Amino acid sequence: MADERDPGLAGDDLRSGGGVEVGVAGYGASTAVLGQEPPEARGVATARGRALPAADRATAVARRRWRQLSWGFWVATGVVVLWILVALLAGVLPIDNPNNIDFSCLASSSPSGAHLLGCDPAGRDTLARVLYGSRVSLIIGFASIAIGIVVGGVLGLLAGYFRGAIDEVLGVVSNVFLSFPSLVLGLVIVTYIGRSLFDITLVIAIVAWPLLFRVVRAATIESAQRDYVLAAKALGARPSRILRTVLLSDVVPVAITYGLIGVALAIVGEGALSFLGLSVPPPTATWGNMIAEGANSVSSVASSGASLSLLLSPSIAMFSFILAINFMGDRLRSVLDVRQGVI
Amino acid sequence: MGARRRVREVRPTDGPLLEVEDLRTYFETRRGLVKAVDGVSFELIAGRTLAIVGESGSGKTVLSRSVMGLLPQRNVTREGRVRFAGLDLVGAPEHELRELWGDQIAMVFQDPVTSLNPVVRIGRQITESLRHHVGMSRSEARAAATALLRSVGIAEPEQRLRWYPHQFSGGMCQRIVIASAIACGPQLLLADEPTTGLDVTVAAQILDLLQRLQHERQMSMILVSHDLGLVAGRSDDIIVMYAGKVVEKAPTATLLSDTRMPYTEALLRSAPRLTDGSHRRLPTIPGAPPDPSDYPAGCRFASRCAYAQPRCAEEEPPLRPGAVPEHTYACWYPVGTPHGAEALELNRAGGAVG
Amino acid sequence: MVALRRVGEGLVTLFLVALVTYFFTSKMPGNEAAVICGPSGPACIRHETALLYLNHPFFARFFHWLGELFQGHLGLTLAPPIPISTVLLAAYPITLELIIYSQVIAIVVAIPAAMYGALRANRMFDKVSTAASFATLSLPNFIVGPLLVLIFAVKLAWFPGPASNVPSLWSDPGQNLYVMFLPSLTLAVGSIAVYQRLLRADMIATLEEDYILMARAKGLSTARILFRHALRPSTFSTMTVGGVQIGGLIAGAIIAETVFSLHGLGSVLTAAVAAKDLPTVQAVTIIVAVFYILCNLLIDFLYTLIDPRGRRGRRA
Repeated sequence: MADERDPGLAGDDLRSGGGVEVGVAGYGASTAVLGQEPPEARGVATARGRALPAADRATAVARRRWRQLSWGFWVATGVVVLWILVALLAGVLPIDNPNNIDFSCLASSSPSGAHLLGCDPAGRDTLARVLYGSRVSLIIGFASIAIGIVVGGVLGLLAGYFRGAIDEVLGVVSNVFLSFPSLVLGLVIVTYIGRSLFDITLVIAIVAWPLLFRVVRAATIESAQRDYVLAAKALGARPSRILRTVLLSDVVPVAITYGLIGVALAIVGEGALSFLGLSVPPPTATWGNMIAEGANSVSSVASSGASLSLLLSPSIAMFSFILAINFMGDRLRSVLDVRQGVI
Repeated sequence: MGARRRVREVRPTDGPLLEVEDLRTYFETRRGLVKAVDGVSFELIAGRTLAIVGESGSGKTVLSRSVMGLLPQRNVTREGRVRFAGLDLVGAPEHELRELWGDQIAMVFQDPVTSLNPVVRIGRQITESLRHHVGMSRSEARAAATALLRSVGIAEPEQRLRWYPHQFSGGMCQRIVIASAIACGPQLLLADEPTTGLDVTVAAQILDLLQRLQHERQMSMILVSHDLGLVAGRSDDIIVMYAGKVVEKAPTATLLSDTRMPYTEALLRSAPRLTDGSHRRLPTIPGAPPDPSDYPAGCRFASRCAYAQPRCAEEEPPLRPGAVPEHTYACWYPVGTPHGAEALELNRAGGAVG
Repeated sequence: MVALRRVGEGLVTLFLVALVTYFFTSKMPGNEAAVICGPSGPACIRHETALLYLNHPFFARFFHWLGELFQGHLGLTLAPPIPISTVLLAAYPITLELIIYSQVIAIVVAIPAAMYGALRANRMFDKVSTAASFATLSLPNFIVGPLLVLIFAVKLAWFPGPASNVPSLWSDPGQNLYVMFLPSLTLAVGSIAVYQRLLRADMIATLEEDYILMARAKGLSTARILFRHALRPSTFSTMTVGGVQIGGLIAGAIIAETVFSLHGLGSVLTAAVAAKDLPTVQAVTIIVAVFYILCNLLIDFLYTLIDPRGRRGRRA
């Protein structure tokens, strides 16, 4: 049964657990299992999906599926877009400079007319810092996954299509990377590389690529065994052509769906590093280091409205963004019939 | 089999062991109300075997489960009367039914391989009802299970008790399922297509086994099957079901020799016979059973019936007695009567039937 | 046979993990010897260089280090120079307790929730708990931890907050479990959500199986059916994820130790990273990776115990 569903994975290496490794990137909360369906249901669905000819799948089915997206999906998309706009336009929004110290706010730092969300213990405006903090999270989240998709995706396509030695080697390499708990790996690489915005992006990309490699490889293997790919091979199409046309159309939706969830995981990862004080150094505002400051001031005796706001504001910001992205990914995955067990 | 500490002692009654009266079982689904069993009545005398026969979708499986009360907990209506050994089963709360299930009434399911829990040793699957209902100790139950396995024809039962279901073949699994069903010595055994997935020879062995156990233990049995030929030699009475209703009911010999309902006739014809030539094409019943959420008016078989007349589509035929009082059937133009012959002739002449 | 292969693969992976760890942590900017010696003279640097095999080629250094590792010589922390093994021995019980405690909490909460949800699928409780799980999965534990502190330690004062004294589990188990409850809950929240989702989905599928109907037909009670017949076959996905969860739990432990100022392996690692204390980072990383790989091997083994057919493998 397992082999029928997942032909390419038979005899795979140490930990080829289905749909699971994504969880490694979930510095803590494993988002991997969002949208898990009962295995039987999944198997049947894919068996049916495979039986359909390619062209039909691509058009009629896709159109019907887009309509299946609930209003919740569009709300989530709206939230994501809103945060992207905030990150882009933080400079022109009518808010304080996030590093500006308002000495008057030091004394009474609770939320007020001048500072809607209050100030942090250094007298900096919390609202401004939350909005500017989105920049770090979003840049690192999207950029690292973009790098991860390009690297992991290309390698995954090659490994999944050609198999053989290249697949073996890449399998072992990705396996070694996956043998570290992701936050530990991140910390080690941070020690080695550094803590600038670019460094952290690189760190997260290094942690993330093996997962995306796995996803794309498995999707490629599955796609390569479909009848129309076999037919293209039989007609003598060159591998480069098959990879570019047929396979990409099968693999790209998978990569994008998992990439979206990857963005959420990357942001959580950056947040964790930030929270530990090991991401982009101060005074740059990040959601993670703001939460850490908030946590400190909340648990100290002199907790006030300001410290509450300092903890809750970045927490809510981050939660709203991650929830929205996860929701999008979850809906997309069920609509695009990207199954959980693909990894 | 050890001292029995039953929760409820079922008292023996003079009348039939099981009386079913106007039993209805409806399911609420998204497509509407599915009337799987739509007013079925029958009786079962202790020690006899009743076969329920019909195409798939005729409601025979639901009927067997509904008799027992083994239905989903939600979106189901079950009405009518089921009296088992003097107890009323319809409307009884599930915890009361549970005292009977596995103890007095047991069931053997269609697919032996999926009816056994793959991750539980068969020993425990056989002994659990003994321990639960009879209150046997672990060792008593093991001894009983060994005896049960031997009686269903499994060699080296002591060792096999420690095996898992996947280590047995389908036929062996069905023997195990039967062993666990009869463990507590039920008075009534319901067998729902017990041989569907099995080879013909194995199927015959299983049916023979059921028959032997029934005689040895003086059980009553309800045998559900789609194959009239299979149950013909192994039942005392037969009920033919179509679209949730009983369309013909008779002692087995009567039903076979004096068939009245065209549907029964069609079922009989579609079974292969030894006397047929090797490439003889078997007659099939044209069309499909009606949608159980939207039955047509009149006789539900009318649209597929070779005898159907305009009256059939308008008026629903009641069950009426045949030549012997135990024989009832629901048809306006019964097979083997002048009425029926005339109707068939009329249809042939009109070209409706080839 | 399969088990042997798994162990073999595990060993190969471990070796490569050690290699990668060493590679990353040994080519740090700044000469290790210079960092150790600080302002001390070139004699010290020469001595340390020889001691640490720093003047040898990479692989020689690596195997030397690996050999020392096998003998339990993890080296000294940078400052103050304490044997790393001493530090780790003092730290690991906290981390281990966090992980085990959190899993106990998660299982105790998730199994009944999943069962109840599956039994009454798509009704009120099920919908609410499923939505709550989904939301919880988007809540990183560095948010969960401070929120728990805020609610249960600061506002309600039901549990002690960060930087509380943790008595030994053996001398005062009650107090220990009391103090460790919030940190463990921080880790447990994510696990509860994951387990609830997986168990519920698998449980719904399991409850459709014929053998559940058969168990019902035997007259067994609902509780007996759920625990005896439905639970075990429904745990495959959860087990699979459980292995990976351990990676997340280690990460979570690092966070929880920071939030609650506990002195476990996580805080040793973060402090070492912040201080660029390479030998310690190496040691902790290796130990964590070994632990992680061993846990996964263990889960493979448990898998064959739970599924006697052994054919579902870990990729069901």
